[in-house]
Amino acid sequence: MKNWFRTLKALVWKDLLQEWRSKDMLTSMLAFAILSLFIFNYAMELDPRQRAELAAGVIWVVIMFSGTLGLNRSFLAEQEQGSFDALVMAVPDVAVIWLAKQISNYLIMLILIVITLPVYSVLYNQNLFVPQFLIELVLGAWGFSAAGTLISSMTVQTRMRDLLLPVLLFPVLMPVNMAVVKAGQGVLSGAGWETYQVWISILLVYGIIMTTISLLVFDYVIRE
Amino acid sequence: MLLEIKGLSKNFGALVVVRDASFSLESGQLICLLGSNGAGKTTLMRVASGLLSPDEGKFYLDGTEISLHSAQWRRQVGLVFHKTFLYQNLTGVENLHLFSQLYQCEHSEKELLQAIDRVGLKSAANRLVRIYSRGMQQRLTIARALLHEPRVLILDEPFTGLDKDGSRVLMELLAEVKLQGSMVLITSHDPGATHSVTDGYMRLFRAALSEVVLVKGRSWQELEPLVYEDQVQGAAAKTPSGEGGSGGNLG
Repeated sequence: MKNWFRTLKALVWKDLLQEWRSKDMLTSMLAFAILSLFIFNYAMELDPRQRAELAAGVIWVVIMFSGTLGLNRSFLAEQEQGSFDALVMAVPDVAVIWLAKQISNYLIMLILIVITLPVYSVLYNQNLFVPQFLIELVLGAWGFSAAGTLISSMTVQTRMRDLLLPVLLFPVLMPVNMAVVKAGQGVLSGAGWETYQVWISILLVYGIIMTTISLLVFDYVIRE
Repeated sequence: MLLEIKGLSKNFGALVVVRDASFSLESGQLICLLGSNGAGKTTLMRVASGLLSPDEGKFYLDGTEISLHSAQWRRQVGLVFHKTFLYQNLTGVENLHLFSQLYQCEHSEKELLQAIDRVGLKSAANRLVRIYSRGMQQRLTIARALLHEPRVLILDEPFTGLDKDGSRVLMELLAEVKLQGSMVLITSHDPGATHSVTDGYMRLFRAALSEVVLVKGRSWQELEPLVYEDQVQGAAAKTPSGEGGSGGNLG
């Protein structure tokens, strides 16, 4: 088990170091997210009450689309030089490759969230730094990247990966999208915990289920 | 150690790539797999390495049946394929360090530098791989494949991109790993170049694998007609419809 975690640590470090040097994922994700926020800001002339109602939806749509851009690139380093095969040959358990990639993608999603929220707050003059809202975004991001990492590991081997990833991913993400938006609306409108508790529970359960499924099926997915 | 592969078959849909192939490899033996482009050499090697599932076949290591899918088998294999398997945004030494960690070899930095030095890349050890030439990347790939002292080495056209000096280094390394008792399966379009370290040749032709023709001190010129014997017979027996052929770009 100790070796498993050392392997995991080595793979996460490899992904983050590569991303730090290339900035392949983060640059495209951030550029897309910030531009989208500007466009939404100009497109929707809303009063403060309407803005509060729409904030959770707008911020999640921006994060989800930006995240999808990043996911499309997350296995490219492995694909381009065939190093995926070398990883499969080297690791004691293939599932560790998925978990490492999931953790790397998740950390990059968190960076995206940390940068996107203040930009939104400034543009829309609305404070999003509410602990419950941050918790549901963090849970939603885990579910998003768990499903996205698994599906991008399948689509990266296809020629139409840029198109296939969102087509396959978005239906799978329906529970996450609904739960993040509903919970966010509840939190930002100042409703009580009991009104959005169920949505946060859904996010938690979705994350656990998707993580478990991915760890179980990843070996099969990459082999076939 | 003796690896025996019996009755291996691999199809891609209706395309028969390898049919009922059997061969064995012993410790310290280097067998060269020959075949024209698209013959299925790479597919056979991917199956032998455990990266691709066979449709049929049994595999024995020292008489005990094994699964080529098991991590235990895969981690005994060192691979050099067409692609370099290297991370372009890591330095040469960082690439080796990563795989040293994955194989739980825990090499010190000094040992990693020695491994890089063995393939003549010491001065480029701390440069990003993306600025390496193809030949330098191939040298690093070879260093990576040997890093965990594999018991089985599978090399698919390992001389690709190597200059004269790089080829000499690879030949020395092959002789060394044979002495250490590793078994080597190699493909090459220039079998004469590797003849000095080769123990036998086998050929994949129309999805069928020939018997191993052992070198036994003979030169490549003497062996060539024997290795290609079945091709001559096969061409004579070939029907106009190309019966038994294995098309496609699989080699």
